[in-house]
Amino acid sequence: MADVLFDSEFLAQLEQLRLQFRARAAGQGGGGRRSRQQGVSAEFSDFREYEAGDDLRRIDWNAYARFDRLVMKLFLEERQMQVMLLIDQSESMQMSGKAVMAKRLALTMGYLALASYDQVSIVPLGGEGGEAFGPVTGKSAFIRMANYLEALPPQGESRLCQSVTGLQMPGGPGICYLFTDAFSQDGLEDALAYLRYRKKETTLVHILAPEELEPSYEGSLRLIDSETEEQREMEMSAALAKSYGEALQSFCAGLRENCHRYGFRYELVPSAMDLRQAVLEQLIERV
Amino acid sequence: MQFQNPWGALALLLAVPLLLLYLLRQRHREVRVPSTLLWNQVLTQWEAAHPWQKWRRNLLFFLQLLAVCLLALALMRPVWKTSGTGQNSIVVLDVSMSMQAEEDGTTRLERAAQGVRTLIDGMQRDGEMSLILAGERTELLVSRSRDREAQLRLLEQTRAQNGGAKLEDAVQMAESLRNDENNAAIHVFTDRPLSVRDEHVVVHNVALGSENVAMTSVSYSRDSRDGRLHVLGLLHNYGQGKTVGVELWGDGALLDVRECALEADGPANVLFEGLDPSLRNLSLAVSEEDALAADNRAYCVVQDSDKYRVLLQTARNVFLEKAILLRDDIELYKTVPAEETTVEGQYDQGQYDLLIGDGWTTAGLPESQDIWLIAPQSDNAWFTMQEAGDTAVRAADTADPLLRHVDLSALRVAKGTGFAVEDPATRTLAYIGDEPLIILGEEDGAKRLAFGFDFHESNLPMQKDFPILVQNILAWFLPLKEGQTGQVAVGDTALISLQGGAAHYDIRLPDGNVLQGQSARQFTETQQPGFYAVTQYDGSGGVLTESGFAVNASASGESELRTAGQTDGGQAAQASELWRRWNIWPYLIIAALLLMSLEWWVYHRGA
Repeated sequence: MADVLFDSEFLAQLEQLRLQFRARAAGQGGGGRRSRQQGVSAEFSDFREYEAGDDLRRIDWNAYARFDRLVMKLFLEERQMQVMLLIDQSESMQMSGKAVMAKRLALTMGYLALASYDQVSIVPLGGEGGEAFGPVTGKSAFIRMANYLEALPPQGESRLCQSVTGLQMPGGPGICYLFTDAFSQDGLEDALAYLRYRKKETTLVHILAPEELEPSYEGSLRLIDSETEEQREMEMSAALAKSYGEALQSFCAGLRENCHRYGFRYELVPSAMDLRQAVLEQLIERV
Repeated sequence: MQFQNPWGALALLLAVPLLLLYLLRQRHREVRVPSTLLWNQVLTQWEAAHPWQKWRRNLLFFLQLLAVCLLALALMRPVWKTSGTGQNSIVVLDVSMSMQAEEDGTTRLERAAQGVRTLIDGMQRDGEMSLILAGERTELLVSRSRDREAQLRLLEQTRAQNGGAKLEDAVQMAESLRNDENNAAIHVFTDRPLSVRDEHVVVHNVALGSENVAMTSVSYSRDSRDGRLHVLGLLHNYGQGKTVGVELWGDGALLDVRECALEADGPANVLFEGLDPSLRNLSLAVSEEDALAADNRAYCVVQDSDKYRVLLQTARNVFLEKAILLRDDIELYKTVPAEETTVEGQYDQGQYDLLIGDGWTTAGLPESQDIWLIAPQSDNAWFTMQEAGDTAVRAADTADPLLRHVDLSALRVAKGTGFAVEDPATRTLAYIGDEPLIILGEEDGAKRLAFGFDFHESNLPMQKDFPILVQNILAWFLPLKEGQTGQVAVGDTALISLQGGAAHYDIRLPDGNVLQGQSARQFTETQQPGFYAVTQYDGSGGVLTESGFAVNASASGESELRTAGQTDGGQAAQASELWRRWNIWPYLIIAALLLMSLEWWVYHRGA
């Protein structure tokens, strides 16, 4: 799958990119990303007055000699960040290349995270759930990650809210990418609220197929839901297509508004979009 | 627009299976979509806002539905209502007595004829007309004729009759004619209020409304002391109270005139007493002229005797005597037979209407004489007698008119005599054992009846049916005489009581014409009011009797001329409006076929 997803040129391009995050993670070990939390590292950050209980080893004795005051040296602490990739693997995602696009995007973002020495984990969503991948660090895990994604099976009905709120995820800040078509039986709002609660800076990557964005159906149709097998008969017309377009816009706007309410990002990615364009313009450019 | 066959709307039920077929056969292209979540939302709102949108594209279905509707409409046979004269007409013309009424210088019949003439003039060139005269009898005078001149000529010759009109029968005949004739409107010209529900019938009421006095009947009685005649006339005033003169005419001469005061809208009597007993033809007439002259005069004929003369020769038959006298119109003469009774010399020919011989011993039977033999003592030319051993009696045919309401099953005869008859015209009424016990027949116009037992040797007089049997027998011998003595209304049948031996009779009609060689007992040519003189002849052409009867022009409701005018005005004004049966169903069928062709074309174009 790795061969299909990436060519050498694209990989070289990715190598030069650095993921930039608004969130600064509070990881356990050293990482390639700066944290907003000051701590122990080689890079100086600031001074402050000594307070009782401070580590005596961090007193700047040169400053004390010069100003006769106890001053503590502060350093930027570099830590590993948790990057969590949530992939909706329900039946609805298996159509029109939506699942493929989701996996490719996840692999790309996972690669970028590994390249930044971040900790990456992948969790499939939908149905009974599946075996999670990771957490892993280091580029050496890339191949395993690619193989995992390639073998990831479909997961039945989409119940994103139930799947996300049932996740056991490490506490503390982190970065989360949620790849889904958002056609969930139980909505998304609670899932987003939960991610906010778990302090995950989340990007909702809303993947839709071309026929979902602009249906090109004609005549009498019987629509069959790929997840529930529910059937709905209709007579397609231009007026009905227009109504659908308005409903879709309203649906996307609702998702965007929910994301913004929690400080999350919302990106709409057509499944037919060029991968490179999707990664560079939709996911990285705007970071 | 109206529908001649509203039941055709049932064809709309065809739309139900069409709809079902459409729903069942509606083919949808199946499309598998990731999720119908959004579509459900959209369609729910869409269908609520546009409930008919789902049918919009189903052109084929709507074309079929329209074709079915047109078909149903065609089956309902719609017709357009237009003004003017229909292409074909059936005219019903009332020729009852009241149509003779003269109002404003013209008779009702003349006004009706003028209406018919207008109708004929306004008809299209190829229009057909039928003309039905509604009198006492309904007569189809013209049938589907296009000959205008012949129609007008026959109309000119039509005269009002002196009886009533069976208008409903005539309209019924017109309606049945119309069923065979498309586009025919029925026009009824009458002076009687007539409500017809059929839209194709137009009633032209020609009555203007008038007062009238009618002489409804005249009768007489004979004074029991001196035989002089008393004549009673009955009038009816259909109008305001007034005094009129009543003329009494006898045998063609004016005998008396009386003033008679009439109350408003009611009957009145006028009596003339002590008239010459030899008068035969009596009539009473209202002397004042009124709208209708035909009912101003009534007639009656004085009969020689109102009663039949019956000779009963019996030694002791009280039961029979009592049973005979139950009839009022019989004058019974009774004699006791001698030891050797013979017919000859006992009476004059024609003296009695019926001879009843109880226990006769005679070898010959009187010719041309009705005779009833009870327990005859000897054979004769008609029958020979033979002893019967049995006692039980059975009827040959219980449905025989002589045995009407009579049950012979309980009759027992102690000593009966069977008859042997060779005459094929003789039939048997009852048997004792296998022998004919009661026989009857007719020879040369003379009726004969024979009982083969003495009433005293049977329980017949004890039977409750005995008086009925006697009355049945008397009714067969001597029919009720109303035809001769009563007054027959115009158009009714007069019964001519033929004398024994009468071969034929002539009748002189009131207009002087004589109908010769009549033989039927029922005379039906009673169209003219007045006196009818009957002369009966025997086989050799000799005059047997002369009698007569009167026919009066009175029919129920025909003299009432006021009510006819009360409802006719509006109706007459509306009379110009017609139902013209313009059948549009062929066009509807063509339209339905075109639609089906269009549907076929759309189907193939869509495929």
